[in-house]
Amino acid sequence: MTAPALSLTDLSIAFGPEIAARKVVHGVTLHVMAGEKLAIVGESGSGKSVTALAVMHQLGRAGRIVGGAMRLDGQDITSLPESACRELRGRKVAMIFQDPMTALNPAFTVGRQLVDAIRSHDDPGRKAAQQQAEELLAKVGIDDPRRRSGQYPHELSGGMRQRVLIAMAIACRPRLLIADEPTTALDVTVQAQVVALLRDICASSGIALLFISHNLDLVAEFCDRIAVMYRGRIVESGSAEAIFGAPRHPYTRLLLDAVPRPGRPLRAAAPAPLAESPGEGACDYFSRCRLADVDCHVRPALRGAGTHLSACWRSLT
Amino acid sequence: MLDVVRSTETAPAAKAPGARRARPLSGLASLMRRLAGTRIGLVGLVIVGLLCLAALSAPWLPLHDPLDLMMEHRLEPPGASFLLGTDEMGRDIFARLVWGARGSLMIGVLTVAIGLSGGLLVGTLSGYYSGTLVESVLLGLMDIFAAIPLLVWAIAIVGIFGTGPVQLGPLLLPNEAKIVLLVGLLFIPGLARVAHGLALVEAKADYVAARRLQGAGAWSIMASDILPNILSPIFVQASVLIGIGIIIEASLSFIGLGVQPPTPSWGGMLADARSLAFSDEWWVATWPGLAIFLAVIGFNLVGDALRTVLDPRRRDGGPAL
Amino acid sequence: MTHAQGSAATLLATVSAGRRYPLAHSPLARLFDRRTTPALLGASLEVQAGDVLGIVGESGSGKSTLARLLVGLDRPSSGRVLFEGRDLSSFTAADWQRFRNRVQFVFQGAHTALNPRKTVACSLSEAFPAQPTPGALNALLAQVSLGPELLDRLPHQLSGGQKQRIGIARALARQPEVLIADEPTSALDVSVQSEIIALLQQLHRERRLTLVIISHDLGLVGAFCDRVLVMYAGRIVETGPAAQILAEPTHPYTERLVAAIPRGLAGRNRPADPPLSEAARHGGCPFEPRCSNRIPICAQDEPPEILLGDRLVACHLAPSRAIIAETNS
Repeated sequence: MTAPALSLTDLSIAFGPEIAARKVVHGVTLHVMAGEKLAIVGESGSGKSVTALAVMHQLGRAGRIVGGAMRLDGQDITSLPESACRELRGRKVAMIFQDPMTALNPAFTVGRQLVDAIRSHDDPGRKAAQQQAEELLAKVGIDDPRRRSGQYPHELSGGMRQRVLIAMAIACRPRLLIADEPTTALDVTVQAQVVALLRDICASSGIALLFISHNLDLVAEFCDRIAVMYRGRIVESGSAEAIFGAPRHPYTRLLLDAVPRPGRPLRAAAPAPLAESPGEGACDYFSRCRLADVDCHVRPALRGAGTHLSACWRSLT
Repeated sequence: MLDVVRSTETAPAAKAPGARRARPLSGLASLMRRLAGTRIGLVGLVIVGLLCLAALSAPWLPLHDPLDLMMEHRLEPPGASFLLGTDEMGRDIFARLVWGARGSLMIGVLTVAIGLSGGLLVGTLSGYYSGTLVESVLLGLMDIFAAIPLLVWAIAIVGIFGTGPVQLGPLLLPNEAKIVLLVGLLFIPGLARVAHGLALVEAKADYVAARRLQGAGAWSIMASDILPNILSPIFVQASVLIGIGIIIEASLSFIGLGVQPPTPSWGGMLADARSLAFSDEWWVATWPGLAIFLAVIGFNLVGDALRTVLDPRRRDGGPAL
Repeated sequence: MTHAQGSAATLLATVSAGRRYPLAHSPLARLFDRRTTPALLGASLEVQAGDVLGIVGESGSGKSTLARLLVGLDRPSSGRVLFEGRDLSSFTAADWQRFRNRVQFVFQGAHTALNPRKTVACSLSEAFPAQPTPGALNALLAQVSLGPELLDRLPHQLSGGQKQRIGIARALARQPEVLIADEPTSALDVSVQSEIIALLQQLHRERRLTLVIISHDLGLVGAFCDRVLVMYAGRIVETGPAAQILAEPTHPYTERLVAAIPRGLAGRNRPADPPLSEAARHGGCPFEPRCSNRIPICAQDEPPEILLGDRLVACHLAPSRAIIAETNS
């Protein structure tokens, strides 16, 4: 068995100055194999984006890793000098973001930006890079790539721009592609196309995908495994079938019920806090949980048989 | 100008009948305290504060007469009897600096006050009425006004009215007033441009549309929604302009169009020291230059600190991110 | 829609309302450059008292423009907007005052919906016609399930869900009969989204509030609204009961929209939507370049609105497809 494309072991991340550090990710462990599609699902502030930024070494000055390890292709990347980080980004890991408007430079044609991305690592020369750029554009489903590569970002629709960004991300054949809510700013029909494109790229090139979203319905459509995060911890993880078919954590259940789906009446989510949290060591979901009792004053660990794990004393079955 | 900050901050609390607790600090005192909380703000406040204190208390300080020509003490180096030395005509430099601060600071602050009121008015109006004739006319006027350089204006004004006081109806305007008015008016286009850009963004915000749906009038929306939201970046700009106002006054005095001798002014002192700049009498030119430098730095630091402090998200321990 | 307007219960209506925006920014430049971009091309709709109407479409479909016309934030450049049969353009100041008391708007819960420098109390007080009592403010907050402790907070101290509740409370201050909400949940997390929808549903139930929900999420609109209006490229392409439209969409664009709703495991391995060419069109059906069912006439004539049972569809193929569907069933 080969090493996973990405493996995070007990990763903890904190923000702020040393003395008043605020931990936002607590001991996250997850593995993504080559060609596998893993989704991290959670609400804003759950730590899902921060985890992704940590892998990219893009936490900025305020954030840092305070525990655990990250391995990419078996190589430890927990702490790297800046030069190695640059090497890592783009060639080993690439990321696409929520807003395709701001991720492209409006002053240059998309072809030029794509060529620059290709040449920034193994430079094959301008001609060859141009050729590759057009091939990439064709690969991400942009028709007439020659004409498109001469256009500026504002001449393309949001869906097209996201396709260009995907082309840029896979230009250097990374091992891992991180997609942080890549479809949130797009229309539903375009969202379906972008998701299909990501699925096809992973299938054909063996790139591992880490897909970050708050929409369980969307990720269950194409991801192999799902990790649900809440307040900086993974509260449930398992195959998409297991999580979707038999959710064990009440928070996962809430997320599933919250998505409006045709042909199913809307169920109102739990209103704001039900109960005061009993303290530091308690289950983070305590205040919103309908099933909470005295057991939950102690935070449950992630456990379970096989690959379907959940962090709940009263796991739903 | 700082009064405006206070009123916009306390207004919501005053209008809020349901408010349980007043904000712990409000108004000028709170602003000063928050400014002093940042390192650059503290340094800036100390510099500006010392300069203002010196300028205000000049008549009561144990100083030589700044106009007194002590020919027997010409060009004395800094020492015990003359702290910063004397100039070519034997006048005490320290005394002249302190008295000159009155003019320089007043001109700096007054010019910006004029520029700020005009710039905010024009900018807010043109931003709110974006896409209408109001905007085109106002911004066009600003462009025309700004197209003629300051020096041309200054020479034209002084050429027409001379360097002496001007009788304006019952008022006798000293030459300084002309300078203040001129520089203040010339600050308007720049500030109006900045204010226009900011007001444009705010005018498109949903909360402005919401106010319109409540039936609020244009003036009420401009005063209570747009203006408070564009004030802080404008203040930052304005505090930097105070320094520039001081420099402009100094330059005008330097070429003889500003504060008229023998009244002491920093620019005028520099002009008098022109011939001594590279001689052994280094102190004559150095001190006024240093004073201008300090004042400009001080106001710039305060401006930088204001930028941080006036951001509503930085206040009272809100979420750091 | 095609029925004569003015049935007793019709509150709001548009009659082939269109809106074009000039390309030139200043009025002087507009003298020389008369080009305009259309945001909305002749949309007609009726909102009955007690309706829950959903307007769906992608960005640029004109749905937000339509909403702004309905609430009087913008004027139509062609056609009319009617409130109880009266044209908004003939309103006097007093009429507007009355209109504002009866029709209100909820903005997208993004950061600009609330003035960042005003406390919640201040933002809400302004929404009342006269200075409210503290009790009235607390009661208003209670209507959106918020406590009075939020009154002296500033917007940045509120969560996304709280901000949107404040936005709804602000619209409710004058006890309107109609609430128009532009993407009320798109800036929120899914769990918060369902809370906001539940709140709107409750308001509809308890106060018989007429709701118009603008959204790009057909799943949401379908689960919540009675009637749905699908917009594409500035036109209404299909109207009808929500359940019907979701179960068997008639217009090919609606079909695409329904197919694109994420369905979890049920949506696995569904055939990928073919990428669409994005050529702009002049004349003919606006959806023709993207349509997989197009026939020659689609490129020439703009399809008329065809009434099929409860539904109104703007598609040349709609009648024949309806017949096929009928013979199949």
